[in-house]
Amino acid sequence: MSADMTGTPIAQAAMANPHTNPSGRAYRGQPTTIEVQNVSKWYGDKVAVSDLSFALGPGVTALLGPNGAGKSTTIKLLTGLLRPSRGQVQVLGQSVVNNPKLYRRIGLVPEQEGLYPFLSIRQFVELAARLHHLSNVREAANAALRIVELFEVADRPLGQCSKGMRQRAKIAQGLVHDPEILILDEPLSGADPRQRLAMMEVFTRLGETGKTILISSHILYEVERMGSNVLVMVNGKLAAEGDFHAIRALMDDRPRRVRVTCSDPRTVSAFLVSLPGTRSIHVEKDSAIVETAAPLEFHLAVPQAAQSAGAHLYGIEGLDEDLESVFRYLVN
Amino acid sequence: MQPIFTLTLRALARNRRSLAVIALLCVPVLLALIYVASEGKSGGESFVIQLFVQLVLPILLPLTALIFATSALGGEVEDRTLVYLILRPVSRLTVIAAKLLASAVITTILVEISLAATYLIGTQGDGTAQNFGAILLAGLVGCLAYSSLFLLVGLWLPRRGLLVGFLYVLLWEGILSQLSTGLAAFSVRRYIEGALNANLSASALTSSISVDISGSASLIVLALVLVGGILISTWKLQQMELP
Repeated sequence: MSADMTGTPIAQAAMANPHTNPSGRAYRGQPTTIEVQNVSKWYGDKVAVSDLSFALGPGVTALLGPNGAGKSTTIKLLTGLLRPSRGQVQVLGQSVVNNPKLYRRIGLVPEQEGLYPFLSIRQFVELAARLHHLSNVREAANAALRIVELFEVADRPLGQCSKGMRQRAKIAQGLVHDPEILILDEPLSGADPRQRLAMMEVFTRLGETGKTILISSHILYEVERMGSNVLVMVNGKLAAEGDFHAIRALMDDRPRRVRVTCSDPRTVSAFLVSLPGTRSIHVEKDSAIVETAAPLEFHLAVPQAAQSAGAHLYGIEGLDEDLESVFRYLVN
Repeated sequence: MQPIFTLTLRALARNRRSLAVIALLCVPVLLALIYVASEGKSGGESFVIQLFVQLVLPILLPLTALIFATSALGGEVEDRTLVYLILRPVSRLTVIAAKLLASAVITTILVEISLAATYLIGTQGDGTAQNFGAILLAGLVGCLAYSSLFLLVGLWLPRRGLLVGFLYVLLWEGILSQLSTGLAAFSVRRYIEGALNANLSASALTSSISVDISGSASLIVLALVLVGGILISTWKLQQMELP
């Protein structure tokens, strides 16, 4: 955990969780498979990640954060695609930089969409199997294709596949060699809801078999379904690590800002201020922005308040439902 | 190495620039046809050698190598597919060797077909095996050396490799290297001419080939270009980051 984030809600949740160890050595009593020590990466004046330290072991861990938080940079540092400007990355006890043999034990599903459009899905996965020197290329490819539910359409050229299919083909090439560590950068983007669910179950199952699965995502509910361990990154820093359910509880309890647009915001505000959970009200020309600790009850009470004030109610809009504000709340 | 070699061959064969290369390599064949139609058999071999020295060697051969070699690796960097080759238990040297082999094979096949067709048409079958072999050998070593050189350029400058290589071929190999022997010493062209010169029959030597280097020295320098390109490309790929 980064030193300046120890007072954040997630950090507190992490410390309260007996299964996590924010000092970053062992993890749930399991051996450490990925260890990151004081890693920073910068390009000229731009710092992509700053003083990152954490340790992971078997199981599913989600790397969570808004776009631009440094998740992809972190994943590239873990897989040797980038070199740390400072600090050390150890995977399975070895340095990952210029260590091709280690890739026998690591699988990566990259975020970028570039693929070979002239290869069929099967050829793409078999290419990975061949480069991993697998003894039975066809069998390994079939197994991977069945896992991602592409076996039936495996002869389709990648250039003619939907984004969701290409995404699953990328997952298949990442797990064709049955790696001990599977790292996935936004693996579910483009997948339909049913496929998302199926993939989440696959990742959870793989985690349960003792593999280390690290999945980056900016979608909170994906993380909730896959595992309880999270690393949260904000602005290139590890904001916190810990148990997702504790974080989720914090998120549900957080106060929300709601904009109430009506014909007489000042009078309506007089009724809203008496509602339990209301913390503050800011009245504007045609709306009132209310901070409430009980958003559900507040939403139900607003029409009654407007009616009592004799005002026309035009809209109720939550202002803190986007991911950015969730992370902002969790970090500050 | 074989999976990367096959993959690269398929990618290069689908490259739209291949059609432009094939069109370019038809030019000497057409010129040989025009020559034969207007001049008949006389001086055909000399004309073909002139074509090789004046047109194929300084322009068409390096441009063909440039287009395929820069695409072979630079294309993967630009398309961001290189990650699917290097995050494997495969040495960087293997990746480079496979890429080079694929681009050199396709370059050599196209250039040699063009040279063979030009020679056979231009000489109307009256050429000598020695001179035919000398041209094909010079074409082969030229393709290998230029492919290695331009593979490195494509890796170093994935987005501007083609332009930089094009300017290099036109300005350096085509013009500046011809201004003095000192400048020529730093061109690949000089050593391909040296290899050609050493193997042509005495009667076929033309004033266009004014090299003062032996065939074996030329082949050594070309081999150094080939091996040097492979080693530097391997080093570059090891040092490279893929953001």
